[in-house]
Amino acid sequence: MNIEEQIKKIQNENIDEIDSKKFIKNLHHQRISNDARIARLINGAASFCILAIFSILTVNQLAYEPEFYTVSDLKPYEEMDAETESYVFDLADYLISSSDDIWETLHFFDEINFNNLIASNYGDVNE
Amino acid sequence: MRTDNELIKDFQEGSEEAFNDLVNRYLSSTYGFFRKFTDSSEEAEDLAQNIFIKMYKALKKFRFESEFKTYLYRANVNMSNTYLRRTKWKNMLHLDQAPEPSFIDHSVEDAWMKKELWDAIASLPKRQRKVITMRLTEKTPYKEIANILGVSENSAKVSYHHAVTSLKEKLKN
Repeated sequence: MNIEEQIKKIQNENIDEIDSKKFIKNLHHQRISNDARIARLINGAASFCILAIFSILTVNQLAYEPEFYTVSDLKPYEEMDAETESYVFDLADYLISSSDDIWETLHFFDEINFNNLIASNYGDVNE
Repeated sequence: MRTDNELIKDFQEGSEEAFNDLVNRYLSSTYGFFRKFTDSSEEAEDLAQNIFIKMYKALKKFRFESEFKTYLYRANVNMSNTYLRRTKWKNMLHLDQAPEPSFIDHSVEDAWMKKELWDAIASLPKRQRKVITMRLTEKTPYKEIANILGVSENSAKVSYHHAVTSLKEKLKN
């Protein structure tokens, strides 16, 4: 291949014309769709990051600090021996049946902190 | 007629029309530049489109430190380099498509030789590649090449000479 000849040939090559109106129209169309694609990518990436951070925090908290979400403050049934249980029921029965004002009796239960015991026995939370 | 800088200022103030005028002004030279080493007009059009999309973003921050014409030309040369490097690898994977010497007509042969020449240019060192691209596509004067590349005029001439010698060597067979 003769390089000089080839170079001259390329330099003197005739170039076809281009339709400028059509080109400019396509240019702006392409530019707008490129921008939209980039915006979609950025939004997608940002959403993914937020979800990832949220997931990591959630998993970490559930794994290492479960008490933040689940509180188990019910006293186990076994804490109360049979004698105490019987005593408590008898006392409650007596107080309720002898009381004129049921609300005052319940208020009294609150004060002596039997609520927790009663609640735990019935599987209810009442603090 | 408004100057390039006036059009750029208008564009920076929000006039899309000014940008379109700039595109109109430089479209045929930019398209012509890319058409010299691409296989098809579509490819040249795509490259020109990419350049003007880049210009649309870049001109919003243009600081008028150099002439727009030089700025655009530099961008074209960089884009052509990227394109040549990319197609070089692509062509290497399609070597089996070379035409058989006994069955080809002259237009096919010319196209093939042109392709081979540009592939060889793609493998030149960066500066030589840029200089020869500028000489080939627009017969750019050495003074302007020197200005664009930030080297002396003699250095540009030496690079061109080295490039032609290397091309002869590469295409000997």
